[in-house]
Amino acid sequence: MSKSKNMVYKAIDYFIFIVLVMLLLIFILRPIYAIIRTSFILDGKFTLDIYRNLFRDNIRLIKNSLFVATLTTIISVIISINVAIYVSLSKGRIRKILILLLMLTMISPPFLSSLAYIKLFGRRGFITHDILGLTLNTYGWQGIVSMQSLSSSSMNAFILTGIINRIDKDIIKSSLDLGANTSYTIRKIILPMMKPGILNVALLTFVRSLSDFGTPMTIGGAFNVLATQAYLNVIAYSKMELAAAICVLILIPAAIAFTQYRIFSRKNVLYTQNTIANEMLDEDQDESIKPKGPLWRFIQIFASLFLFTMIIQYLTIFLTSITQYSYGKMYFTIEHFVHLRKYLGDSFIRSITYGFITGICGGILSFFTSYYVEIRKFRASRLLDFVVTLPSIVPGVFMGIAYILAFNNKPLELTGTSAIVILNIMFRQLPSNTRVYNANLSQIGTQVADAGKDLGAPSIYIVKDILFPMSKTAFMTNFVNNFKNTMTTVGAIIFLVYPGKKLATLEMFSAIREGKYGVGAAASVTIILITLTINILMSRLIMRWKNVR
Amino acid sequence: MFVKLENVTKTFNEVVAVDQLSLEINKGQILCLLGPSGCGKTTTLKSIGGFLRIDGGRIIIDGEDITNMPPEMRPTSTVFQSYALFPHMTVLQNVIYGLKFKGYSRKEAIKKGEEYLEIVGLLPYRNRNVQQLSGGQQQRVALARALVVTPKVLLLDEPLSNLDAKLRVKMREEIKDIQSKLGITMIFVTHDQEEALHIADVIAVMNEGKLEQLGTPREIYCNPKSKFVLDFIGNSNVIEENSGAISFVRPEEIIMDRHEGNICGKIVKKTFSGPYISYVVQTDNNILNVQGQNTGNEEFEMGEYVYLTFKERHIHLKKHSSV
Repeated sequence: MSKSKNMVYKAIDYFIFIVLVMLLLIFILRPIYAIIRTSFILDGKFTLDIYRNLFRDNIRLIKNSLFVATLTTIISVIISINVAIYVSLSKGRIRKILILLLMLTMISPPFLSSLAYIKLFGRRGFITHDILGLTLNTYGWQGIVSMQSLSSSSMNAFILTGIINRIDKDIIKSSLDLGANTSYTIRKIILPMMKPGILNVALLTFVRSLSDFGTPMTIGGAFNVLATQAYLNVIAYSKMELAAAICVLILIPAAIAFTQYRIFSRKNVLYTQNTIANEMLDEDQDESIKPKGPLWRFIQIFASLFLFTMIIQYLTIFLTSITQYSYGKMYFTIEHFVHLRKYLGDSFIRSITYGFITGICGGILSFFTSYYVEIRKFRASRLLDFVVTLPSIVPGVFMGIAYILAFNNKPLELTGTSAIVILNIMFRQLPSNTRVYNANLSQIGTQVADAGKDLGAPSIYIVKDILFPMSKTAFMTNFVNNFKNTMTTVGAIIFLVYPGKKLATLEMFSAIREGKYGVGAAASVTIILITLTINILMSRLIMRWKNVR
Repeated sequence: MFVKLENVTKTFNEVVAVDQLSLEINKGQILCLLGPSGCGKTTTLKSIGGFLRIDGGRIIIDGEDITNMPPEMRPTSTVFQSYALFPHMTVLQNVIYGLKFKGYSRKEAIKKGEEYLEIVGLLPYRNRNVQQLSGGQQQRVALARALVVTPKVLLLDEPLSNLDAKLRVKMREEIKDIQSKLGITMIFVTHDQEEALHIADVIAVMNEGKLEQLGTPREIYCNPKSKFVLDFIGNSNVIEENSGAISFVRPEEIIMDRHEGNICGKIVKKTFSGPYISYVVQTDNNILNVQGQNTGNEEFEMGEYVYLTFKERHIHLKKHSSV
């Protein structure tokens, strides 16, 4: 190959790399720096006053937050362990239904369970009011804890099932083979092997609960928490420094959770939700494992109860979306959906459009990130890798407020634009997207890339001819994830979206806040259907690619 | 010398993987890097291919110092242990991939690719997807892909380790045939001594990053220079001499007879293994492994007293030398 051509290839290579590094610095480090800085600077001077005030004025909120988060964590972990063990060891139809429901929760918008809670146990709740004839004030910490536990449990059960699936089935079989019964095998083999996963799930739940402002706002009633305060400080009172300080405070447990995750994941290959789901459905359960005994009974009952609750939840949402109360009578209607089309159609189209943009751009961004960090492995790649993982450490609220603070003035004045929303979603998804690529590229990619190099291909050819085509299933997986996320996220973007440019989830949030439960439910159903359609279409495509091989 | 390694050293986090390794081979030879896992043989190969940057020393091929060249510029190509075929391309696309960067037109590239597919016997498969091929066929694609760019040195990293026993023997014959047909210089990494003895012109036995011995298969087998090489290659009976030296005799070099011989002993173990029957004979001073041909004529029984004669006895090593 000629020398000059080679120079051009090298230049392109460097250019892409520099652009990538700049993007990471601007859209990850800069906002994080901005929010931390804001929490320490008052009137241009460094001070700890903001934190002092925070602790003095909000001690009750801090206590509330810790109380709710701790309780939620305990309940959610217990539920998810039982569900995960059940899903992993059982066979048959109930298991399949349970997995499908777990997958459904992955694509459901937030507040869905809160909405169901209001409809069932609220002031005019179907169970509390209509059946039991009570008019209770059920808004308070009990509701928050139950709903956070319920929605966290699906996610956690997913992660834990993935971890149990990674245990060599022969280990479980050999325990049974050596004469241990199911209960003993679960206690002495499965649970100990799940331990790091359980700890991680617990930490994640804790952080998620701490940073969740939506659930307390919808069903918390007078019970207030720290995250709600952060939200109100931004939206209502414009006290950015206080909001920033609250976010930084939530960052502490988040950072602990992340560190534990890193130590844990160094020893384990981590699966993405999609691969776990596929595995769970594909895998023919081994006939030789026949769980029984009292502990197994308990797990079965527990999982069935969870399943029952989930079915009730979705049923409630579905019914709410197609019914209307009038003079104490319930009748079917399509009015809510008509209302959606009429008034909120734009926001759905906007959501879908954003979903496609984040899907494609996020895929490309994370591909190059993974390529330079994982395949090229240069001296600073560990540092870059750390920067890339930062968005997964910080909670959504944190990143949302950070973006307002970082991009509210020149040279990068992005507040109010669509770009800031899309960029926020993209960079928040970057860690998980990159992980999907890393898993895809690091196993076979390094050697295949070496083979390309060995045959004389310049870097950009290796990217274009080999790595990119090789990782198209990873691209699709990421596309689906990013799309889903755009359709369902609230936490970060609620701060970034301007009134005229609302997204579907935000409309749903407002509808619930305004008491338009039917519209909220209709929005939920529509969001689920859209996400599901995209999911199925893309999975088909991926399947077809796999079969062609 | 065609390929020359001078004091090549490579460390990983303060662990010395290759330690001051020097060796050289002639054009058209097959060099086998042989040793147990972790001996540095693969690290050496990767250093020659340019996938690892060495910490010290020089690598010279055909008079050109390639120590600091990136892999794409080196006159070497590699057959990877996992084959590293491009999974989304056909057999032919895989094979001709490297020709694009050598300035071949597409037409010329296809012609040349087909020529090499013919050599490895895969021409009828040229439009298949590589993932539809068997292990042995994938191996051949990898070989053709590496050969087609006419490297000065072909590097093979345990290329046969993913194949079953029978195919392994077949493929090593094929590789040797192709080598003699094309006259290409090869460096072949393996931990299988039989494979190395069979395929190599020169064997470099490595241990803990150091070269233990460099020589022809016959030299390595018959005149091991260290206790390590003796232990690593073949089976042997080590006998301590009165002088303090160590001598050894291979099991197949002992003649066993019921009536005459130098040493008397009793058969304490007998193992049937197809073409051979292995005996363990207890003598006054030693326990000796003896290998008898399974000719169907003469067979000895457990507990029998026999006479042994050493056809050859190698006295080489001073006690504790190079151990």
